[in-house]
Parts: sequence; C-alpha cells; structure tokens
Amino acid sequence: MTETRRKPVVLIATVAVVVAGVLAWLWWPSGESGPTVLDASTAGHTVRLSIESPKAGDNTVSLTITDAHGRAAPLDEVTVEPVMPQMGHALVPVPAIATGDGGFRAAPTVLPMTGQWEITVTMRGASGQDQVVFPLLVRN
Amino acid sequence: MAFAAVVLALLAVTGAAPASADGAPVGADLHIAQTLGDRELTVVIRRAEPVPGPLRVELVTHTGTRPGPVLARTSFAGAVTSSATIALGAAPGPYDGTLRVDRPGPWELLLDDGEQVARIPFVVPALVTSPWEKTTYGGFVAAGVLLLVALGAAVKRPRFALVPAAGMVAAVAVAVTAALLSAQITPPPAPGAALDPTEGTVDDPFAVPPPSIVDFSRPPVNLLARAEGPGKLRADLVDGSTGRPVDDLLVHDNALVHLVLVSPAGRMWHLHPVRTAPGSYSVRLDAPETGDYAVSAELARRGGGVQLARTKLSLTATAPPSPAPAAPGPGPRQVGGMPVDLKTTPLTAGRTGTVTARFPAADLQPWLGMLGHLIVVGPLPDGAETAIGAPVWAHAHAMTPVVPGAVGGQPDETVAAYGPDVAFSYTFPLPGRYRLWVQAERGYSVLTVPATVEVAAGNGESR
Repeated sequence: MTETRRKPVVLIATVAVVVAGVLAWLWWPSGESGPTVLDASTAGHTVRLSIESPKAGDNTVSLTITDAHGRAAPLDEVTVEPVMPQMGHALVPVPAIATGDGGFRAAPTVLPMTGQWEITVTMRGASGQDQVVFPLLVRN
Repeated sequence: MAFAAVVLALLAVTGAAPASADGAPVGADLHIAQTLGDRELTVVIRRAEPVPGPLRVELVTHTGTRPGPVLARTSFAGAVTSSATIALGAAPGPYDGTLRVDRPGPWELLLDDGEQVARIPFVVPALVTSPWEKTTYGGFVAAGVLLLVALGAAVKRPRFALVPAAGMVAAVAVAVTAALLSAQITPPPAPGAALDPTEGTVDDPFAVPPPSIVDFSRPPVNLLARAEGPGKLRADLVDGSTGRPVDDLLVHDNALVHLVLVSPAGRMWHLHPVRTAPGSYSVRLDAPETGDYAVSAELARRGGGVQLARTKLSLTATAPPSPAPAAPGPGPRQVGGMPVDLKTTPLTAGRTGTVTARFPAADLQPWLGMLGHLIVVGPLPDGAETAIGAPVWAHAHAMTPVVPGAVGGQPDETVAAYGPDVAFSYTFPLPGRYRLWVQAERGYSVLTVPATVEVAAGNGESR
C-alpha cells in the first residue's frame, strides 16, 4: 500500500514540474532588466543616455558624452529637455551637472506621466550648439 | 483510446484556426520618392530579413536623370555601419546596391550624391513571437510530454495514468483557447507607426504595456520655407505646440514630404525634399520667375493623420526666363511630345465632377504608388495666376486597378500596364476658375498636364 501511495506523488511531481517549466518558459522576462540605455551620435558628439527604470515622477538621467575621437567632450553647458510629443508639452530644461570624464547627471528630471517621451539633449561648447533626441517610453 | 480521440478532436479544432492572426510587425518594402539634387529618384528599401543580413536598396531613375554614382550608407544611432556605391546609368530604370543591417531597430539610409546627403529613416522589424503563440506552442509541447508520461504510467499502474492524462487535457485546453482567442486580441501599438521606434520597442512590442493614452495623434506642424541660396530651398518643420523640430514623419503616398509649389505665372512643381537633419528638408529648385510662390507641404506625423501646411515664399529668379506652359481648357493637347486628351464632366460647385486624361497607350506606370495625381488650386482671382490666396488646394489620386489574387503589395514603378485613361473624381466646393495639373508616369517620365477649368455656381456648394 505504501508502494502504491508513493507512485502518485512521483507522477504529480512530474506533472507539476512540466507545468512549471512551461509556465516559466512562457512568462520568463524576455529582456534583461536594468537601466534603459540609448545611444545617438552627431557629427561632433556621441551621447549615451541611461535612466534607471524610467517612471512617472522623478528620474535621474545620466549622460556620457564623447567627441568624434572618443574623448570626453569639452562642453560648457548640457541640458536635458523632455517633451511629450502627443500632448505637445515641452517641459522646462533640466541642467545636467558634469561628474567628470565626460559624464553628466540631470536630477531630478521630472516626467509627469507615463507614455511616449522625447528627451532632447542640448550640448553647448566652444564649437557651438549640438542636439540629439532620444525617444523614451515610460511604462505604467 | 478515449484520450487519443479527444486529443485528435482538439487538434482538428486548432488546425481550423491557426494562431497566425496576431499582429507582430512585419516589414514591407518601402518606396520613397526623393528629389536628390537635380535627380528625381524613387528609393526602394527592400524588406530586411533575416537580421543580421543584407539590405537591398534600389534607386529608380527617370528619363533625363543624370548618370553618376550615389553613395549609400546605413546608420544606426548615428554610427555608419555599411556602405555601397550605386552607379546610376544613363537608361532610366532601377539600379541596386546591397548594404547590411545587423540588428532590428530604427535605422537611417544615407544617400550622398556628393553635394547633399539625404537621411531616410526606416525601421528594421524583429521577428517577434506573441505571448499567445507561445502559449499555444507551450500547451501542445506540455500535452505531448504528459502524454508520454501517461503512457509510461499506464503500462505499470493504469489507475495513476489519469493524473498526467488530466494534465494533458488541461494543457491542450490552454493551447486551444490561446489559439482560438488570439485572433481577437488587439496587437500592441506598432513602433514606427504609432510609437517612436527604439531598439527596445522594436525588439519586443509585446513588452510595451497598454499605453496610458488611446489617441496617438500629434500637434500640427508649422512649415518654414526659405531660399537657402541660389536654386536651393529649405523647408523646416516645427511642432505647432512646442516649436521643436518635427522628426516623426511617416512615409505617406511614397514620400516623407510632398512639396507643391506654384509660381506667380502658374507653373507647378511637385517635389519630394530630402531630409538633411531632424525636421529639416531640402530641395533644389531653379526658379524661372521672381515673385511670391505659393508653397504647400503634405505630410503625415507618427500616430496622426495626413496634414497640409501652406505658406508663401519670395524667390528671385535663378533660372533663365522661359514661357510658362499654357494651361488651356479641356480638350486635346500635346504634353512632352505626346497627345493627351483631357475631358471633364460639366463642373458645378458642390457636385462631384470627373476629370479624365487620356494618354496614347495603356502603358502608364504607377508613380508614388498611384496611377495618377490631380492637383487642384483655386478659385483664382480674375486676371491673375497667383495661387497664394486660393482657398482650395487639393491633391486627388487615381488608383491602380486591383488585380484579383495579386500578392506582394502595390505594383512598383517598373510595371507599365495601366491606363490609357486616368480618371479623378473631385467635388469643387466653390465656383470660379481653377488651375489643374494631372500627373502620370509613362516611359519613366513624369508627365504634367496643366489645364484651367471653370466651375459653375450651383445650389449645392459648401461655404
């Protein structure tokens, strides 16, 4: 009797493992979690923008800006300007503070709601003004 | 035995409703007209699949297109990834080159004729499996595994085979439900058409949550046109709410921007400026007259509909003066060395009229995806051809006939099998004198048929 009682346990365990395996395969997050990293280049600058899990509310935008030779770009002023294109809302530019070695940090960058945003990074330096635009989707 | 029968019955049901109906974005060939320097080209970007892989680009030239090399490059996030030189020959027709794309996402095709660089945005889609498809496949895989377990159990202890068998039925039920319901599930907003494409949204549109908004439309554009130098026009598009450059134009009727200009003497140009920078478009035009030109831009923003922006531009003549082509009333005339007969039904304001142009033979080619284009401007003031104040500014199309059973999308320009009649229906809203231009392509040459019509006052006109 103990023999026959053990069998269903093995079977149920097998079924459970199969079901769990299939469910895990189905719903395993496809993308690796981590900061949203976006790249863009112009003739003079290469910009990498990174936001730790973009959300409605306060966000920290980190930028790494290099020049055409891959060195930290000498810039006087960098601003981050969020725009919500569907609403036609432009927000007040957020100044980005240099953190050294081509790094800049704009915090807090307030994105008041979820949806499609466009983040314009404006760089001003001795060579004039340069801009790149990053599309950014802020999820619910 | 009973289980096998159930499984077979369920398989038959799912076979009748395949799970392929859900809308993963599928790439299609992109046809874009570009007025690059002094050349009017149709750029065809063939669907790239698989990725990484080759990207075929064709440049279709027209009669009189100057031969010479055009450097094509692909660029991702501002960095050039591949290049090819496409040598345009003297004979009109398609000339191709092969580039390379190495990942899905928003790309740019750069076309450089030595003077100007056109930057054409396009999206390379990823092959995406929807969650419903995964559920269907997963359910059937689980059912198969459980069937084996059940068979194994049935050999030793038939009673306990019920446990995996029940699991198998559940798995099949899940798979069948997903397969049957997937057709009714709304696909996610398409990156590139509704949402700004990024590497993330293109790679997995299903990871995008339902948007907090349902209306994807965007504010109207302001059109800023100016002469940038002799023979060079620049049109900047800025957002009507934020003043920022508009960099989300969709390909609409095979072009990013349809720029139509009418000179003070009534000459018409239908050009397709090249995108030189975000929101900045440039085109070459040698103005034969000095004066105020009426300018219009027809375009579509991402997530929004088509819009028409109009403005006025003062130009100084840069081309040697020449007489403007005559624009007679309906009747036979010679256009580009061939006889064309233009007929209209009696035109009354507020009633649908038909304008028909008959070309010599049934060998017309589609231009901008259409058999013909009709541009209507009016009513014009008495004794003047200036179109700046014209309240009506319309662009009607004659469609290529639908061929039953045709696959592969619209016919491209190399198909010379349409016509000879090109008919347009248009309701003139106001009475008065109108200027018309019928445009169609024959022998790789775009023919423009100018005409003037009088529209009688009727009792059905709109005001």
